Amino acid sequence: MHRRFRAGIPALLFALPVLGIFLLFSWGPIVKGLVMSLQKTNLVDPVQWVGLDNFHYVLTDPALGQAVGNTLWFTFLALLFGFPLPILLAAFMAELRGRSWAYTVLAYLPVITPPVVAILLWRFFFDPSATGLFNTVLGAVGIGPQPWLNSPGTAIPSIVLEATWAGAGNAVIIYLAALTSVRADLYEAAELDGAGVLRRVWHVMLPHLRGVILIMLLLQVIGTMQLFTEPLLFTGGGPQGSTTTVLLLIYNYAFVNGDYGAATALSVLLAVALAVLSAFFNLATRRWSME
Amino acid sequence: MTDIERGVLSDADRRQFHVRLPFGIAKILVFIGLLIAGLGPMLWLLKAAISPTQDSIREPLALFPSGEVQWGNLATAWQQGHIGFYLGNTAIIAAGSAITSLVVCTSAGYVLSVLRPKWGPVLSAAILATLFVPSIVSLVPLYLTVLKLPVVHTNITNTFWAVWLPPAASAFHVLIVKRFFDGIPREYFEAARIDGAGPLRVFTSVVLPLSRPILGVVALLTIIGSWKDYLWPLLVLTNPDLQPVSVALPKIARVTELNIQMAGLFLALIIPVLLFLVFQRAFLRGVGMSGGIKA
Amino acid sequence: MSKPVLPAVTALFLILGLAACSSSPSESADSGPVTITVGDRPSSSDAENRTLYDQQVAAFQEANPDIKLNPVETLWDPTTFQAQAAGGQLPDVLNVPFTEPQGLIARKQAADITEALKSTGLLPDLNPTVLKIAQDSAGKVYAVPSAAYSVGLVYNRELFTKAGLDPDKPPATWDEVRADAKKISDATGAAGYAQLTTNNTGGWMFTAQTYAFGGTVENADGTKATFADAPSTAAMQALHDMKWVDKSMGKTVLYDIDGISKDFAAGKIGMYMAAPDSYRTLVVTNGLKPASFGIGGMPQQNGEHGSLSGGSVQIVSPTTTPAEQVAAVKWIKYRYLNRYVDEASAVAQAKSTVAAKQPVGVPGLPVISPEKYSAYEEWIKPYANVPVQNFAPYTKVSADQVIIPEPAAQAQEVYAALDPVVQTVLGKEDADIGTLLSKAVSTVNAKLGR
Repeated sequence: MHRRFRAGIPALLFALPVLGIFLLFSWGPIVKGLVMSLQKTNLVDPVQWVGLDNFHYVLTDPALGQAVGNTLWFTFLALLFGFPLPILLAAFMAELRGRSWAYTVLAYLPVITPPVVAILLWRFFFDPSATGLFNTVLGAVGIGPQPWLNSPGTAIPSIVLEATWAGAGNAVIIYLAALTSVRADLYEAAELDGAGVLRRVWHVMLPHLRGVILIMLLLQVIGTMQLFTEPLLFTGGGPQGSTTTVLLLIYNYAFVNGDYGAATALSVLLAVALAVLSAFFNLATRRWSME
Repeated sequence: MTDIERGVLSDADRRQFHVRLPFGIAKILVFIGLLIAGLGPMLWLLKAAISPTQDSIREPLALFPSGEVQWGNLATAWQQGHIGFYLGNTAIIAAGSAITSLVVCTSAGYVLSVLRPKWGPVLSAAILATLFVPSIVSLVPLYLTVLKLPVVHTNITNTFWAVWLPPAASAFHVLIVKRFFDGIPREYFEAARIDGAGPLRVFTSVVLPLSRPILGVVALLTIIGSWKDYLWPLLVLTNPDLQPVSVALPKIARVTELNIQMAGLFLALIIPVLLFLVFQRAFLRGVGMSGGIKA
Repeated sequence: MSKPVLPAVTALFLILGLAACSSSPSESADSGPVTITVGDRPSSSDAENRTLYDQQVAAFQEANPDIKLNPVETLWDPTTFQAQAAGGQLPDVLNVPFTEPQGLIARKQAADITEALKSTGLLPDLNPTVLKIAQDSAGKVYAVPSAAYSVGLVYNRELFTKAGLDPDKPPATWDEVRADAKKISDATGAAGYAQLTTNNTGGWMFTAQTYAFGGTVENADGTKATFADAPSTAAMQALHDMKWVDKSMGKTVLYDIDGISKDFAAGKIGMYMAAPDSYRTLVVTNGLKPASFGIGGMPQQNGEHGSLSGGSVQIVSPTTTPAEQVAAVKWIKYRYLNRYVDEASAVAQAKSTVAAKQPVGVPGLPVISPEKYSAYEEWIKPYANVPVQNFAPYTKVSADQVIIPEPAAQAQEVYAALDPVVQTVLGKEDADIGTLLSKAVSTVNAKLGR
């Protein structure tokens, strides 16, 4: 880690925008919000300090165990299926040499599809009767109709499918941006050294992408562990609580029950869990990082 | 859209049959897949916009089963929803958000990746930490903040600042920009320093030009984010004259039929998409690296 | 991360703690005219209703020179409500659904307007049965009901006819519901009966059913759950049998209001529990043919027990002064209740509603006295744009049906705990109803204790 400039004043000056914005609109509100976890408030009258009451309530909520399990399962499936896909797609598109813009636009369209439309369509796709779209397709290859969203076993995979469709485009363009900055002469040098296609991918492309891939991995895990729009809109947390995530619990505490103390208490616990996760992640990737 | 001369595969590779065939097949399969997954929903939205409501809910995938095509729905939705006006607001909001976002991300990324002061990792961790806390928690305090900004005690609700400034505090964008800057070879900075450039010069003439891909990405992500954002503008822009189309559309949903709602959605969508197509080269253009350093 | 992150972040925390300042609720000027902010102003996309609203604002201010109105388009939304309450930005008058007042009262997020209602003479006019939804256990009033309905059974007349059933004779008992559902699914392939199951509507409809079977969900003072007894078990058993024995409920388990409305409007469902105001969602939004819309009274089982109510109430912001509360109550009376007592007002409202292509003539429960309400219905009859005769089976029954209010304490949390019960009964053929109910009872009892 070398410092090329005396990073005193210039660094501070450059950091002013991010410090100002984050202090006002991110750190400040977060701290204020977290303080609410120790309070009982109706948001109108002065607050009451209740110490760890909210935490106790949240931790003894019978729905919590299932929500944690669901969230972890979601994250695992989303990583398994949703994480490699954008990388492969972006790598493929990077080979298209200038003709990739059509692919990029198409890959990005699901991201900008309004949720209202996505829900209407995917509800129809997931129709559990034999005439639902996916069931018809499955029927054509001899597989029986699936309950999709309507059964605890298949609900989470169904949502993972839709969430991957809706989110892959974002990751694709990020990877693509990183890939386009790989210097051509690096590939050529590898080729001159006699490296085949796979070798070039392994020794030139992937190392260059490593930083972006790792940060995207962490960001996607953090993001998926906070999934709640899809469960809220598609299943309301059902069937039988099988798609209730931790965030959905928090949302219900905050806005359905008006219990901000419980909502922020559970958020504190979630934040701590994610912080621990990130710390582990950082330690683990240190070893493989090029820095 | 890339300008690089080559990727993993060289020209010689592509001439080989055992590369051309799988590659060609893959191209077709991927294209068809993306066409269905990406364009399909848009086309369906158009179809739903000009079909009678019952058609859309009884037989969603059939093509005009009752034979009726209602092109007039588009005009109705446009007028009743004042979509043109609200799209204008959305554009103003999106542009402003993109600018504030880029300013924050590039300066933050520069500090964290290139300048690397001693307190860099602390700042980095503090930024990353904001991702751990669900945004629901900060909704109410953030609202209280914009109602009365600390120190200056001004109320920025019902001004565009309330929708331009808060989204700029995006840890996600800062981190991906920082990682991108990490990938710029350090030799470029050495070369510039040897040439006598100070930190500002390096920023403007080395870092920014080389980062066009990621800047385009961040601008795009911000613009799409602000176009989709519903809850925050609903809360802070109570003056209907300032509201973006994402807040205005649910209002016609209350008093209209499904097909008109779909028509409104389609119009609100197709215009940004067309603009994107026109400007996508500027957004997603890559920069050839070979012109960076003269040997 | 080997740097001392923790001290640095703690330092940030301390700085922010010092800088934290709370906002003060909006002040009101007490000298001169009282100004109140009134919500629910129709947007510019709803031109006719907006014109009427603005006219009413102008007329009200003329008649009450000491009150100034500040209309805003703010609507009820669970997320923005909390933020606005915290920021003191709630309108002084706001329309909220029936399901909300008890929660708002418990959290003190609605003003106690008993005094204002007394001093303006409005209190004696309000229908006491309907008013219960807006009262706490001491009888203090926190909201004014402006529209009320009882839950009934919505059915598709076209499917009834196709199945050989008389569309003017919807089922009156749950046994009949079951028989009719089977006929419909056998004859048409559509689901004969469906029920809401998600986003707390599952618990809501479970409650309606329990009431219809003669049971209760909570005890009178809202301290214990009471739904693990015979009526609820019988209700769940009926659902189970329709789904798994008769196979008349189709394959979809998860239904929220939007989903069930769309499927019903698409002709995929024969019957479901809903209030008359569902006409709007089904016909206006989802294109159901008006002639196919039918509604009957809530079917009963083992005697006449009653039905659940629904509708809207007007709440007053908790940060208002007594003078503002009086002004607010006067506005509420003018805008929302005058139509029931003044013919000109009723006609004006009906005309603008018709012009806005919204339904007029949907029957409801009287929020003022029943006699005045009948007079009101006569006034707007000429303007009705709904097939009034299709509502006849409902009106006949609901005229005498007992209205049972929602569970008194934490209804939303109770409903949330009941959603999975209904989903399991409809999702697993071998679900043990008794165990499901008793588990839900212990969950709810824990929450009622908080």
